[in-house]
Amino acid sequence: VRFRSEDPQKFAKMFAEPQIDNSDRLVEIMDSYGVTHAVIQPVPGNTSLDLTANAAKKHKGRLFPLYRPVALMNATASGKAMTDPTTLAQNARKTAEDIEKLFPELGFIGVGEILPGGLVTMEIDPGKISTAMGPIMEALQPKRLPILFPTGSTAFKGNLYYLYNVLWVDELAGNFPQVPIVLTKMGRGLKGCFDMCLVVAMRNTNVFLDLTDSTGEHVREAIDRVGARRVMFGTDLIEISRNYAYDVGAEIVHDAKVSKEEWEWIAWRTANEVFTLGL
Amino acid sequence: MQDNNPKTPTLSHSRRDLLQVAKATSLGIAMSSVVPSLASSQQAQPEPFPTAADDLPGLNDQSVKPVHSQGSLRRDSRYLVDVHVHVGKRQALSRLPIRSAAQRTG
Repeated sequence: VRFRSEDPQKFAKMFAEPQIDNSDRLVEIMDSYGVTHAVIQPVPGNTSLDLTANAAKKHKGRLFPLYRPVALMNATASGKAMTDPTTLAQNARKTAEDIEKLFPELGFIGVGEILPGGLVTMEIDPGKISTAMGPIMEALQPKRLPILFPTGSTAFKGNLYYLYNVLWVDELAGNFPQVPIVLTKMGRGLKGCFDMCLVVAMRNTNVFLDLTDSTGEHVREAIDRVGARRVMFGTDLIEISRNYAYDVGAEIVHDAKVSKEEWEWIAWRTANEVFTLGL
Repeated sequence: MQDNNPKTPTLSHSRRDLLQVAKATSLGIAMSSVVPSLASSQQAQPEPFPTAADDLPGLNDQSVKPVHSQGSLRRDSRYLVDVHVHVGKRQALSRLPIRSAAQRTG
C-alpha cells in the first residue's frame, strides 16, 4: 500500500511487466519451513494462466493450481473496474466456460481469489450478486470445485465494499451449498470484517476460512465457533513477502494456541477435503 | 497523491468505478436453483510427496532467511499445506528492498 501511494507510476509500471515463473524459489522457501504442499494462484497484471499451470506441472504433487479470470486480474492491476453490464455478463459466461473447458486441460482445481465487483456485477445487493455469480457457481457445483473470495483489505484498488462487507457471501453460500467457499484471510485481522466472516461461516457449512494475515485471537475464536475443520493454514507467500510470510504464519498459529488435533485439521486435513488434494 | 498519468490508477478512478454501482442495471441472469449433491470430483492422485524435508537444500537466495528450523512450523503434522500462495514475479520486484514482517502492508 505504501509503495503504491509513494510511487504510483512505478507501481503501475511494475504491474505492466511480464511475469516470470518463480515457483522454484517459492518451493525452496516452503522446504525451509517444512511446508509440504501449496495451493497456488496467479498474481494480477499481465496474468498468465499457463505460467501457473506450468509451475504446478513442474512441481507436480506439491503445487496445486487455481484459476483466476485474466480479464479481472488485468483490470485489478490497472485499477479500473469493468462496469459495462454486457461485459460483466460476458465475463460470467466466459469464466463458466473456462471452468468447464480450461480446468481439465490445464489442471486447475478451483477458482482463486476473485470478487464479483467488476467481474460479473457492480450491484451490492446480496441477491443480485448471487444471481450474477450464477453461471460461475453452477459450473463449479457439479464437481464441488472450490472458489476463494478475499476479505479484509487489499493493496489493489476498487472492490473494497465486497472485500470488507462479506455478508453478501451468505446469500451465495446458501444458494450453492455444494460449492466450497473459502473466505481468505478471514478478515485480515480487522475486527468488523472478521465478525462478518465468522457469522457467514457459522450459517453456512460450505464456508471455510484461511488464516492468512489474521491474528491468533481471531483464529482461536474461529476454531471455538465453527471448528478447526473449517480453518486452513495460509500465508500469502509471494515474491514480495518471501522474507516473512512463514514467520508471520507461525506467529499466528502460535498465538492461537491450537491443540494437536486442531492443528492436523488446520495444517492439511481441511485443505485436503476442500481442494481434493488426494493426501 | 494526485497523478495525471491516465495509466496510473488513482483513488478517484477507483471510487468513480464503484459509484457506477448506483447506475448499473440488473444483468437479468436467471437465479440459479440449488442443485442436489452430485458426484464429487476426484483429481488425479498426486505423486507421493517425499516424506523427509530434512535433507532439502538451503536457499539459493541468501536474502531469504529461514528463521525457523526445518519442520518447526509444521509442528509434527503429517503434512503442511499452504493454501494461499501466489506464483509469478516481475523483474521490478527484484529491485525492491527485502521487506520484513513489520513492513508488510498488504
